[in-house]
Amino acid sequence: MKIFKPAEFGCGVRIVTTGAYLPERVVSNADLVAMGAPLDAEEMVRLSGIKFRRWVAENQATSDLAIAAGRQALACAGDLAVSLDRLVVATVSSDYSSPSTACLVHAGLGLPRLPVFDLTASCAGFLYALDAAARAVATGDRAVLAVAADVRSRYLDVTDRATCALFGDGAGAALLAPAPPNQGLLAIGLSADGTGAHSIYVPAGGSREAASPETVATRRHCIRMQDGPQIYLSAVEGMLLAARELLDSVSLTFKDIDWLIPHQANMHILKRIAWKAGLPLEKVICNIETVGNISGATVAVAMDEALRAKRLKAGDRVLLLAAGAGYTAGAALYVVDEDLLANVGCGANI
Amino acid sequence: MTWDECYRSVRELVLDYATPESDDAPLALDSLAVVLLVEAIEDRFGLTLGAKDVTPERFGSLGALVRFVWSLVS
Repeated sequence: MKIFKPAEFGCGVRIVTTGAYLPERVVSNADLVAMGAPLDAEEMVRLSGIKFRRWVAENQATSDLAIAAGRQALACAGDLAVSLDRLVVATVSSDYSSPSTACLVHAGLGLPRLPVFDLTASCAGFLYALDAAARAVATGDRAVLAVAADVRSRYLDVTDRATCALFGDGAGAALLAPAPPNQGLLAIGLSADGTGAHSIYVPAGGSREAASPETVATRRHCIRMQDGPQIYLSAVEGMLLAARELLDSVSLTFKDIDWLIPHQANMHILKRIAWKAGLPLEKVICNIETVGNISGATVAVAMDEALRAKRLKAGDRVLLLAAGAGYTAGAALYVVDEDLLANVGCGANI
Repeated sequence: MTWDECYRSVRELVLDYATPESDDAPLALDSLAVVLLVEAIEDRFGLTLGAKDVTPERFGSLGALVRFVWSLVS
């Protein structure tokens, strides 16, 4: 894992504000059954822990969610909002294959000329965006907006037993800025293992297999998850490995963590991570029951919710953790400060 | 624990997810059922299983699964 510690470069990076947006449409397990899902509503809860998820409306796309989350973050950033030097959008469900969703978010937020780009890291998307943003801040940017947004419902085959209950739509954002060394983001690490690239993927619609009537008829434009048990167990092991490597790098253990905010993949995965890490489930931020798996946005949305609900306190050490298709993985250790709590509270009524 | 106790325990756990006609009959567990069965086996036998432990061969039949668990607890 490649670990970045801002203090080693004589600087610090903090999250100034966060934002999140979930589309209004609530889809229950019963709704999925009515659409033709091969599981009943109780089975979906038993197998995933998910009761509801949010889906976009017909006229909404990923950039709409990203713009709403980004706008909420910028609204409480004060003068830093006009010092924005860069925008990073993590997504695996961009509005178009070209141009980037970041360009659409740039226009939607009415930003001045500045560099914007997408990155793709599946369910580790927010951690990858956070890393890119933190490195930009450490090398001179005054403020960077990191957004993770996904609309997985457009790629969902509701008749597929393995994936029908899992995915929701949403977006989360964090505005990063310089800080004194050893404040805010203490360390962030990323890794990937491309040998798992076809374990969870969308077969058609890209340059390997272009979209055609046949790919649509056979639903090859939808998410396919292969070899399920291995994926579940590998996700747990991948996240635990990332967490331990990051904590080792700062001479800490799970016992030193106040909160774990993991990728909300499946309730069984969350419980297994907590068990293997020796953490009580009360220290794990879980919102999967009501929002489902929002792919790259889950960690950002869960963190924003936890801040807004004032579950996180100043001085708390928070471990952000994710693993996703690819396989990709990321972990970040963050110390919450009073300014972040105050700034996020500012956005409560937006 | 004896072999018979191990067999009865594993069979009891498997019956929550499948009804095998014989020890060698395919279990036909879906992926999520395998995950839940892994958790149940860990709880019942005090084991920790990893991704590399969960192979189609080991979870392919009741007999194979009992032999696998027995190899870990005996």
